Amino acid sequence: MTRSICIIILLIITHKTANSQCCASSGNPIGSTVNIGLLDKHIFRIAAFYRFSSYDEYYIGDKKYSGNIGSVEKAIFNYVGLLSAYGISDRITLELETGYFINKTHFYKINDQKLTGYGLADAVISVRPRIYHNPDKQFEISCTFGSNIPFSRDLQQVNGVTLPIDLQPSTVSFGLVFQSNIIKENSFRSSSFLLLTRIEKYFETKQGYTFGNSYSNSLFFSKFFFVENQFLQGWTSVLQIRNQIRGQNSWSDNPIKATGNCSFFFIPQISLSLPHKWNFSMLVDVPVYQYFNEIQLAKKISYAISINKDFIL
Amino acid sequence: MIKNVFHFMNKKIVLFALCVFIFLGCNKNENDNDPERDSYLTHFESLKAEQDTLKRGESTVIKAVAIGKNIKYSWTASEGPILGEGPEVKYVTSPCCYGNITITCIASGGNESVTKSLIIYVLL
Repeated sequence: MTRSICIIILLIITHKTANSQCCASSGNPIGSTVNIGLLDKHIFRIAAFYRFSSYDEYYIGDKKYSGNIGSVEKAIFNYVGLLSAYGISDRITLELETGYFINKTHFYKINDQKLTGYGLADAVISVRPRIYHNPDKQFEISCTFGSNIPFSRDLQQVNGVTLPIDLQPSTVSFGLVFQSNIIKENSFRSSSFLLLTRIEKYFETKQGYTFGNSYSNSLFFSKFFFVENQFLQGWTSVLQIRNQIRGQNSWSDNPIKATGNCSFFFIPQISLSLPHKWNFSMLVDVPVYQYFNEIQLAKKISYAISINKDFIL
Repeated sequence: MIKNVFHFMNKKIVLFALCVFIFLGCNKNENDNDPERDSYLTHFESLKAEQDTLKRGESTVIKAVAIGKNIKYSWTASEGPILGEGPEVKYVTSPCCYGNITITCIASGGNESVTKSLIIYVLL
């Protein structure tokens, strides 16, 4: 059971920053953070990951928009994250996640100009208790309660210009997250299913901006393939289907109409189990269906790599 | 013996003088390059946009005119991006943002700083 959980973990981690969109979010909502799984007592796990995302098409509803209202030609971000977790007991795991935007850049159609935000994102501190565990049926339910803590409550300025909210490295707002994790494993077939449901709530920023609530569901199927050689102990194939609904953002309690969306992604992933308890993982986010309120910039593609290791303290 | 003491002291004095020289020299250069020290704001005269009403997809130039030396300009839009820097920037509309958009400019020089705002109306 432990093996599969480890592997699924990595994938989910790298979703943290997958939600950037024009005019809608800061790109680093709590979303999908801290999915490192329950750890055994006194196990300390550390994971580092990198994510790249690209956006270059406007959508109106679920159709591509080809008019000239959109001012952004292309948007990208590069993000590195660090996630650590510690098993206080076999039933409770503490987790901490933080990250750094190497860049969040909008390339504008006007005079080939661009704006770039960069810096520390938010920190997410959470506790993950086990709710139910049946070793015979290899079935487990756990949940996560966490809080989002911004490193800054002020908006970032670059060259004397305050960056738009989409380009801020931090959400500059506090938030709460709740997540449930339902895992069913089949050790005979070396496979597992994971259903993850997540709700995120953000509070108003100092500037009066409020990110919409986020609701997401992810269904994972993973299968482990055993390999025994000097460099590899096995690998896992993971297929994920993810749905995310984001509510409208608001400014001084007035909803911003061109924010909020409903998206479905197909996310294949491969994880390699290396000697000495190292794991290396890579994934690609492929948008399958995206619906946006009014006109918004849609995700084109996103990929991530991550590496983690367990220690016994 | 006395000669040696004088020789030693001379060395120390020369070394001390050299340090003072370097220290003052460094200070002088820093002062020369410090815009804060040689900066002042007398008057923030105006803040104007070339167009005060825009359609989404359009942009407009905004100019700040302030009297002084080495003035710093800090720009904020209530929604949407501002491109450029200094006394003249460009506000670009976004699909998400329409209605009244407040553009705020802070001109700073020395210990003085003055804020001016204007409103651009973006049509739906």
